[in-house]
Amino acid sequence: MSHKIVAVVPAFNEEDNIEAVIKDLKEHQPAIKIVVINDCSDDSTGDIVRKLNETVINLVINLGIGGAVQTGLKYARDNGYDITIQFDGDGQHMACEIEKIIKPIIDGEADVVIGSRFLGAGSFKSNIPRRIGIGVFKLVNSMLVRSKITDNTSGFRAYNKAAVEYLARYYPQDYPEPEAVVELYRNRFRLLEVPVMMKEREGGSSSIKVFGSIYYMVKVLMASVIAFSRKPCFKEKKS
Amino acid sequence: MMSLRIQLLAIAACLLIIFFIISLIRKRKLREEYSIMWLIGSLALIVFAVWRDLLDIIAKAVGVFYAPAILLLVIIFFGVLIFLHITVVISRQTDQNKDMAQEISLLKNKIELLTEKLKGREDADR
Repeated sequence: MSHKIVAVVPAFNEEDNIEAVIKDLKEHQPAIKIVVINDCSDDSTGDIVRKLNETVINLVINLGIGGAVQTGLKYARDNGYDITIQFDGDGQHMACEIEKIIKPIIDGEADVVIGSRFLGAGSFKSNIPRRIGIGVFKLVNSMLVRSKITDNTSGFRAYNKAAVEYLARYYPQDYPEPEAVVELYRNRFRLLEVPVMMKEREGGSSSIKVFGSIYYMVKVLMASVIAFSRKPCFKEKKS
Repeated sequence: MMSLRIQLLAIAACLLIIFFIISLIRKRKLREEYSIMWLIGSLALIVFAVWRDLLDIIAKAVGVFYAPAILLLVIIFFGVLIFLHITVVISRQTDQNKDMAQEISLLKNKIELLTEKLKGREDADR
């Protein structure tokens, strides 16, 4: 039984990284369809993808990471993919780790799998403010969803059809990852974290700037708590 | 006590605002749904201008020493309400904007795909 799998790759000004990302995906997972969501980049990100003969969706206006990922999820929903992978366009995720995050979905053990840098043996280096932030999310979100979620900001995720169906309609914007965890839990999707390796950033800069980090923390924490207080609005379709 | 002159001036100013709002609606520059707040606000001010003693009555009832402060409070209250209303509208539009941009981008991709297919077929027919 083979599954139709798509990798959604959000990219904003990633001309230095995108080619390597696509080659990595092609090398390790040749059967997976690649869809790059070009978030209105000023550089040649879109052209590079097109030259490599992969699908690229050029957003007509810059929507940010949330809007870009959601576009990919809508694409996956409209084209009937069984499993959707979220895979960053900046080169920090590794295609050889995809197997680990899709296996629980193939086995029917989870609806959403998050690839975590902090689970298991691998130690991931990070600066102190970022560590504090990640620690706070871990504490708050683990309390909210009643199970330990160690890497709430990880954008390396896999979803089954039902989860994609939900997120295509309701996906948080701005800084979506931690909030999405709570939303998914509230709507009774089964979340699972698996340990994965990630690379340090190869080029470009993180979407989270130093000065915005306090705003980021407050916004995300508020959004998580409010997401938790929302009534579930999605009846899960049992597959 | 307010003099008659200032009372007439206040009523005239309120009427002017109301006429301005209505003319904006007539020119389709302001949608009815967004004008309600403004109209209610200016009507409330007219009530205070016409019924001079209302301010004092309210001030005594709630224990405000300086009656005109009530007027300021009412204005600020409506101002805040209108601001809140506007941010709700902006939030909704941001959402709709996002959905539309996503839909357009997905459609553009589909059109490109179809155009390429069509081109391939035309070339094959030749």
